Amino acid sequence: MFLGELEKQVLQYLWASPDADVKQVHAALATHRESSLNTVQSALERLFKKGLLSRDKKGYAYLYRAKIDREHLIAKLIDSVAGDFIGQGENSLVAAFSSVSNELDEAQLDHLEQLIEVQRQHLQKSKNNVD
Amino acid sequence: MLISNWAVAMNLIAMALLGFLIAALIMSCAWLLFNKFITLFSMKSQKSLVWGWVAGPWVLGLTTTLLFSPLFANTFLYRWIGEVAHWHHLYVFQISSWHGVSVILFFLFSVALVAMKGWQLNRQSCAVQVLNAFSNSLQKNYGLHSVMVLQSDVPTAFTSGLFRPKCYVSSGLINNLSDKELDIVIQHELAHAHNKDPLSKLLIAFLSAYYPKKLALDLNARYSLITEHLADRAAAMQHLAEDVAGTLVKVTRLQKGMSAQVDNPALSYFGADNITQRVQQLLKPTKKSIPLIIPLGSMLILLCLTALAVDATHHLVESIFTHS
Repeated sequence: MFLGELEKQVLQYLWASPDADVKQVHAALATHRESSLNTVQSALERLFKKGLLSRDKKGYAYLYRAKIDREHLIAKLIDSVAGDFIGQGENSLVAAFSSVSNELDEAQLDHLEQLIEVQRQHLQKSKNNVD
Repeated sequence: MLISNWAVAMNLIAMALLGFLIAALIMSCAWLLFNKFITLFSMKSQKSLVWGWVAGPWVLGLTTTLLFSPLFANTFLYRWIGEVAHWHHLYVFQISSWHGVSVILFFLFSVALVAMKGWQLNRQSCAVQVLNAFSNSLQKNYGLHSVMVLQSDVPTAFTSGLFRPKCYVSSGLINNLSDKELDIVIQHELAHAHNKDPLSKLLIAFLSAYYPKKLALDLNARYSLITEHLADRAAAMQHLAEDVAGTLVKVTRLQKGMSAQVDNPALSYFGADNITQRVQQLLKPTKKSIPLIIPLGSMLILLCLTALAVDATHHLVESIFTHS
């Protein structure tokens, strides 16, 4: 998914002020950038087609609102970036710190923690012996 | 039909391709036989071995071509090889022959592969660009590479970007870790950025795509795990290995907790063995390096086998199909 600069600004505005028509969005963005009403209308249309906005007709104008909140959009983007891990390492172009495993249960995690604790105690003992 | 210099060039390409395919076949069998022994060696040795495996068919294919190339026609080596192996019709090449068809198919496959990887890369870089717009740089200075904070409850950290990789840490992870644990995660990610792991993974994915699918998956997964081990080790240079292992288990727990609560697409999955192996490797690292003679000797044997197999295959096929 690609978002242009104007589309990002429109999304930011609609997260803060839902249910706005094109004139309201244009007026709000006019303080930051020079964009015509048509350009803003096109950006709203693109976001709608990308499934990021929903709209309701009120009179002659559409009222737009963000269909996905910021949190979910970021989660979706992380998935687009890191999603290739799902293919068991094939084509993975990101390097994640860790990836959750549905095969690794709590007991196995407890066992790993015990191993780490045993190693810590072993190290501490060796250190005390040296001292 | 091509004659003279163009024919020589096309024959050399056909030789390289035949050498490549034969080497890939031999190395696929070798992987099935020896891949378990690879884990006996240190991570750096394992990394070199995986590179050797994916680059091997290319190196062997090109070297075989050089052995048969008329460029070295006046050398002793060329005359000596000519006695045991040679290539018919070096100055004649027919496009509709089995050589021509195989070169065209290989070329088409390579173009499709480049297009597919390019599309995947473009899709990811678009998502990264948007992510950058919704993230802030971490205040602390970490030198050459940027560390970005993503405003998300998903406990995640990753590195992305081919030539100027950036590290990303989510606020969900920051809020659940102590300063020391967070530094471990960041040092781990910075090691990925420093090693340019996203770029090397792309190259491994590209080169391994010429192997059978199962082997390609195996090589990619193995390489991915090796990069994680090396990044863990880099973090363990700044912190205690036990603390790095503890952080790894803690982050895994956080991610498991999150995945149990919601069906979150940003949490990815891979085998249980990976976390276990990483913890075990941190606590008891394998330090044994592979003696240089083993990969060098193996490559020499493979080169002889490939050169002989190229000659034998060429004669065998041409005794069945003729160029006329």
